[in-house]
Amino acid sequence: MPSHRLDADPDTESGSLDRLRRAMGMAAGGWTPPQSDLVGDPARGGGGVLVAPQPSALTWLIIVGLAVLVVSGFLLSRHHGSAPMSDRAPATTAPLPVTTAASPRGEEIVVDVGGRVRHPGLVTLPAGSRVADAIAAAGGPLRPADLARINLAARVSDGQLLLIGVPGAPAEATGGSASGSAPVDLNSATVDQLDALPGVGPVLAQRIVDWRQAHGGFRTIDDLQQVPGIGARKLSDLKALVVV
Amino acid sequence: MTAGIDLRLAVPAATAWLGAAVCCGLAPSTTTVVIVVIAVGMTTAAFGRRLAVVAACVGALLGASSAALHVAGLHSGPVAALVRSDHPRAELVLTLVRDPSGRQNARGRPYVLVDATVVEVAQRPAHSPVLVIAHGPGWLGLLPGQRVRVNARLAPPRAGDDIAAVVLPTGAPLRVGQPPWWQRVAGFMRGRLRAACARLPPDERGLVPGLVVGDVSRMPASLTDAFRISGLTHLNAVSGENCAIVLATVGALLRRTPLRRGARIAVAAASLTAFVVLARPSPSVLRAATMGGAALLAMSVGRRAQPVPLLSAAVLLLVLTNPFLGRSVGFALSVVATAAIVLLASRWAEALSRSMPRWLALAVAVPAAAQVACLPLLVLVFGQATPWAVPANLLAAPAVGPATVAGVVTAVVATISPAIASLLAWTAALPAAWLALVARSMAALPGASAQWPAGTAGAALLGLAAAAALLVLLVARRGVSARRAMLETWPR
Repeated sequence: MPSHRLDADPDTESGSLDRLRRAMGMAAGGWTPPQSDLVGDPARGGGGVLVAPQPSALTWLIIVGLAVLVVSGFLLSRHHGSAPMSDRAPATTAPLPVTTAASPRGEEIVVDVGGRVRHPGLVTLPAGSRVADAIAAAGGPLRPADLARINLAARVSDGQLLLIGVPGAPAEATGGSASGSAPVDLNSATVDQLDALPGVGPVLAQRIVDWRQAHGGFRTIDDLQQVPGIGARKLSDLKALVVV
Repeated sequence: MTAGIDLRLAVPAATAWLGAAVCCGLAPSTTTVVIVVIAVGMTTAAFGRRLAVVAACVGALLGASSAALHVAGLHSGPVAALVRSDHPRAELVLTLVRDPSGRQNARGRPYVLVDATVVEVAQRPAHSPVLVIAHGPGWLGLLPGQRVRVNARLAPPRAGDDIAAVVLPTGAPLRVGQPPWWQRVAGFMRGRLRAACARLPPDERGLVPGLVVGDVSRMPASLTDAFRISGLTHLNAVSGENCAIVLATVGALLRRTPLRRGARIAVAAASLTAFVVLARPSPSVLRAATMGGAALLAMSVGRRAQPVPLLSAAVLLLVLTNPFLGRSVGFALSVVATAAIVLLASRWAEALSRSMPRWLALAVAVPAAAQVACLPLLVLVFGQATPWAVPANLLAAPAVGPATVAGVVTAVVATISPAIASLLAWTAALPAAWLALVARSMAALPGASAQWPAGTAGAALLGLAAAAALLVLLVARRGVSARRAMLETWPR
């Protein structure tokens, strides 16, 4: 076993290029020792096994290792800020004409309107409102052109996100996808929204709303089973599609 | 005379791996205690100037620190906060990290697993790795790098998992924008290769894209099983071997060009990167690509890198950047097999070549060394011995090169002319058919799917077998004048 206890600093070569090469060689795993180090222990006959590094190489190991840790630590922590994404831009353009749909049962829904509207954030609307109402409640669009690709007539559902004028996210704002993307909230959904669920017809939807009004709302999704016409089978089908 | 085995970088690499693997399962506070203990040990060793011990401690320290950093990162941020909340539901924006993989549960119900990074939680920026378990449609076929918006419920991960949460979508994913161009190019090439192989018989249709770009989406399940049972699994997906083939081919082509050395190295590095994107960065591809990159780096400063320090550097770098790799079985198998080929195969080939032709000795020694080194892992993790692995690999070996090269040519031609490519696919299909035949017949041999006893008995039996093997090895090594290593994992 070769000993390195006494060769305090083999760094006898001068010149920054050599130094750099040695550093790169180590980073690349080359770390080739001075030739004398590779001579095996003659007592053991075969090839020697080299285990102890030189002090300078050890220093480089620590430096490179710490550098890798610092960089990956920086990359990890970079995204953990929690500033809201949409910047609240000042109002510039005319508001949108409001076409409020009357709420059939006086229920309210909350919709998140983001992107290029005057006052992005949560808006509270009567159930059955349409995309146009949600945009109007958020102060209207910053540029009317942003509405070109949006179906203003689509109904919005509780908990839905509308992004206005954000490139790459048109699908959210087109509405109509409410039953596909957002789960239906049992405690605020309209008969129409419940009707849109698979396996739920208008009659059953009305029974769900009736049960809700009679019992003051659903506390858990499993409460659905107490609605006449919903068994364990239908409950398991609906579980992924509804929230409380 | 023998070149000494240079384990100076291997020592800290091994301890870094160990430190990362252990500490990934610990709470950051426990890891802090571990770090302090190791630091004390390191200081003691430094005062005694026992530099090998110091190097080992430095490696363990770095590995443990990296693990603590990553585990702490998983426990912080908006995703982790949401998981701990009473109502862990939100609208998420995810970036896919890998191709979604379709699975079936025990009752035959299909589901999809997706590795992804959450970049937005309820419109707040985030950066947390998650696992999506989706039962709905719309996930299969999405490319890595694609952003999707989805409503989901979040569930806490198991301890030691490399994710911040399990995402259970409650709706279909909505695509946001497009994946980056390089992923679209890679996706296009993979799609064209699949299309070119569409007319082949089922086994070859699944096998050729797997051999070339690791695309196993069309592999018949029975063939995947046959490859696993016969010990050929490393062939049906892209492995380090393919990285070596790519580098060797590019290197051979570049030698005929008038480019200067710097330019050649840059082209080789670019090809390697492109291959990793195309074939997806699985642990073994990452291992091989990092080794290749390190070899190129050494070459660029005029060094001829040795295989053992190269492998050590790759392990060290990968484990420090992603400590959870230290717990990946694929990574462990890849590293262990490479180490065995580098350290054992040449000596074994030397010994064997006294009783058989040299090429045959090499062809036997390489899979035998890899198999012996991987056996303990395979047995302990999968509870399965692969008794026919060495003959299977021996029979399969002649077909691997032709199948891979013909497959690569098919893939390249497919981007230009799908019609010609579907003809060329047959040239890759012939060697692939041989591979499938070897796998299926070896898997059907008696004892092929023998189960190793599980638990303590299995481990004890394994230890006994290892001791016996070591004894045979020591006896066999006597008198063998080991010569300079002739097996190079990396082309000059």
